[in-house]
Amino acid sequence: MSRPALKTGTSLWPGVAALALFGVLAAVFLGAELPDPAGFGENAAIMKSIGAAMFNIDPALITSDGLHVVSEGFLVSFILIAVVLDAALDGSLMLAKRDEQEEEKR
Amino acid sequence: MAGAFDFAPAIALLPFVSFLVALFGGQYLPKKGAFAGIAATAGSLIISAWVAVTVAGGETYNEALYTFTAGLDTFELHLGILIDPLTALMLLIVSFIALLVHIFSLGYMNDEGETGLPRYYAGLGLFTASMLGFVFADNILMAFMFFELVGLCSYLLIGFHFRQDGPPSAAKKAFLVTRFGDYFFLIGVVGIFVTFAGATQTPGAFAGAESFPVLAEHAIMDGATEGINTFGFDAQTWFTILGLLVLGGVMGKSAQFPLHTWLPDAMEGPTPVSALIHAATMVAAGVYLVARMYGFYALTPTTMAVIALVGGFTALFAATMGVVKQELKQVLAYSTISQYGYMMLALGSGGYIAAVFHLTTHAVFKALLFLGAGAVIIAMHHEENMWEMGGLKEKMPVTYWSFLAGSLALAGIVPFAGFWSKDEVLYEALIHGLGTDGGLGLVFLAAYAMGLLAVFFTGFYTFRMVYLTFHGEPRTETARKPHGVRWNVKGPLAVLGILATTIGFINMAPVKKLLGPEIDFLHKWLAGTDGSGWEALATGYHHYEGLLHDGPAHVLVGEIPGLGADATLIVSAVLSLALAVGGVLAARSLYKVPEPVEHTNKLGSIKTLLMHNYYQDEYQVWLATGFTYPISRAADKFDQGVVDGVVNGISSVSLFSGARVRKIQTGVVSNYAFFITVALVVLLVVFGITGGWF
Amino acid sequence: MIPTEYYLLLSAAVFCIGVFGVLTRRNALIFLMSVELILNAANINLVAFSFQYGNLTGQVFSLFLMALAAAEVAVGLGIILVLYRNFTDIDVTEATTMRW
Repeated sequence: MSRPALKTGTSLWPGVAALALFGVLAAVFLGAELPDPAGFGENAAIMKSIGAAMFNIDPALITSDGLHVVSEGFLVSFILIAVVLDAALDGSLMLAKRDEQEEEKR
Repeated sequence: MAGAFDFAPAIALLPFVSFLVALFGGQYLPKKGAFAGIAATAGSLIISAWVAVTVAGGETYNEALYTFTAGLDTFELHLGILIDPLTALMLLIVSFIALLVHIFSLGYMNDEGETGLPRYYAGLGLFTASMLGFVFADNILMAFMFFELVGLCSYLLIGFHFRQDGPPSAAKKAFLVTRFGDYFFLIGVVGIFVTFAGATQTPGAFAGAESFPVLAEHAIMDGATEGINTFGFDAQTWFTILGLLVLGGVMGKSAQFPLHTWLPDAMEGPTPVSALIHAATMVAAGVYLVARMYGFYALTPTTMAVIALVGGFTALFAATMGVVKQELKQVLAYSTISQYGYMMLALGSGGYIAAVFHLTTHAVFKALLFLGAGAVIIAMHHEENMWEMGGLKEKMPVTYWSFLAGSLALAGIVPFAGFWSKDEVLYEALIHGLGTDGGLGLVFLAAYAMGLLAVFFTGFYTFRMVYLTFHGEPRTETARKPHGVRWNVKGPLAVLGILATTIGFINMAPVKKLLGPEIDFLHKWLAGTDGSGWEALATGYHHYEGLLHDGPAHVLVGEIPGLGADATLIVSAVLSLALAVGGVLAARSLYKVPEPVEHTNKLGSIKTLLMHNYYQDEYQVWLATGFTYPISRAADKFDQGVVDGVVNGISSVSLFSGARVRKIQTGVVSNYAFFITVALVVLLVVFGITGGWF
Repeated sequence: MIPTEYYLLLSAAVFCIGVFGVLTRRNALIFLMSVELILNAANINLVAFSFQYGNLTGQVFSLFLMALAAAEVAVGLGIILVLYRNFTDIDVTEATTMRW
């Protein structure tokens, strides 16, 4: 009965490389001295703050209760991602469709 | 009105215009450019005569006319004109002989129906222009340029009948042999420029305070060597080296041993060409150059010795070969080589006046002999072998008498021109040899001995030639009924014949020394009048005499031990005359018979040696094929193997490594990702260790 | 609270599992899934540091990253479709014409 077996030989090396990468990253992270996490504090209105950050709205206007959390403005990224998603959708449709048209022509 | 010197450039420009006319318009002219040439050379002669008259009045001229490279902090290169008595004399000679040759060519080329005449007259015109330009060149670079141009014209004219086999080959040989010498000349020119560039703006000039002979003189006599770059050598040694380098070109052009082999072959050209170029003017260029630079050569005893030895040896060497030749022009060719040997002997042993005198007389009588030979060749329907001739004396009287005058001059029989000049050459060599101490004196005496012995051979071969050609019974049908020649052949012959008889009188130095009348005109001409522009130019005979006497060469005048100065003079003259007459009588006894036979077999094995020109031609061919060719093959192997090999090797390294390294690109995406991952791991480890993350 | 290093360790583990998949899997669709894993490992990292510094930038950014991953998968699937059309196999080790 045949069962799955590890393919030995030179084809082991890619897997070893991935494991080595993990080893290095683990060694670095575990050895890192990070300060205590600042956290968000009690009653932080995280969701509302996220929403405000997305549209560059002043979070104080939205959060009626709870602290607002500081963040950067992501309006430009929001627009960009919208465009990118649109483009990706059209792109994949085009990739799929063009082949069908060529098949029909044949 | 403008002075003669303002028209001096026209001396060379007029023949150049005739060159252009013959080249572009020759085919439309009735005589294919001959009259353009005659007019141009006549014009040059007139202006040369005017210039000579002006110089006789004490003026000289040394100007740069066209600066084609003006150096900023360094020397400049220019074309200019130098006219002093030596130049004026040479200009007269060249333009006069050129005029006569042009007139003669009407008879030799046009009347004989030769084709391609525009090319011929264009070649003659360009040659005359180049030779005249060479003569009045005021610096050595300009002289070199014209030196090469006359070599080119010689090539073009020797190879005139290029459709036959002989002439193009002879033209190539002439060009290559002289070019070999000119290579050393070029190095010498560059050497002169580099040596004297620090001390003057015009390092190549021949005359004046800024010229290299004057600077060399100050360096050696006064020790004033700042600005002069002698490349680590002692100044004397370095100037000797430069002089010897320039001598290479001189020896090539004036056909001295060992670069003499081209001149006999050059006889393949038309006879007027031989008369102009290979007798009177182009081969004189080398000797003229030494005379021009005499202030430089006089400072270095070694070069003087070399020049004298080469001259004396060549004189004897060529005279022995002339004895066995069968063709008329070949005898004359070897005679030319021999006589130029005499001139070099004179220059080397301090007889400057004698050398210039012999140059002048030789130009006249050798041109005469060649033109006479040309007349004979026309008469014999272009047969040149003397054994096919005979008995032409009655049929061609003008030719015979002028040829005889030339032969007497060549042999050196008193009172013809050759006697006075050759005797002076030998006399100067003798007294300088007796008076100078040490090795230099011995060298002069050895060269004198060789020159003296050559006198016998000269008399012999000259009159052998005369008797075989003109005397006795005609040996062939053509000799019985020779073709007639016209005035355009006889005229130049007559003029030159008269000159050959009389031109000796311009410098009868022995008469002056013994009896006192001031008739050594050439001596006075070259020494210059007092108060003239001489002192500034430093090219007068007084100056050279002083250099020879006081300079490192210490050439002094002596006398035969036991006899006085006058007696030495008489002994020397009698000795050379006796040898010459002896040679003539020997030839007379052998050849002045109704049916002469070849006596050369009596020489035995020497005959083979002489007929083969001492195997010099074979030797030079061997130098090219047996010696130079393997070296060049080895150099080619080196170039292809090592130099190209290195270049190809570098490219093959990149090709090979590229072929190996590209195997990384397997096309499998996972492999690429593997390489990225490994690289990332390595980078992280390296940054971690150096950054202290762990 | 859990120290941030362990979040980072988790992120590293997920990342390396994704890398392992990219290196060893031959099926193109599984390859694409491994790429998703890598992206999400980055997300975990971002959120962990957002909590570390008390700044919401990390969390907002990771939202965008999720949208981006979705877009990338859409295009990637289109490419796999084209790959199949040309090589009649979605084994990535079979598509090796761009080689030496």
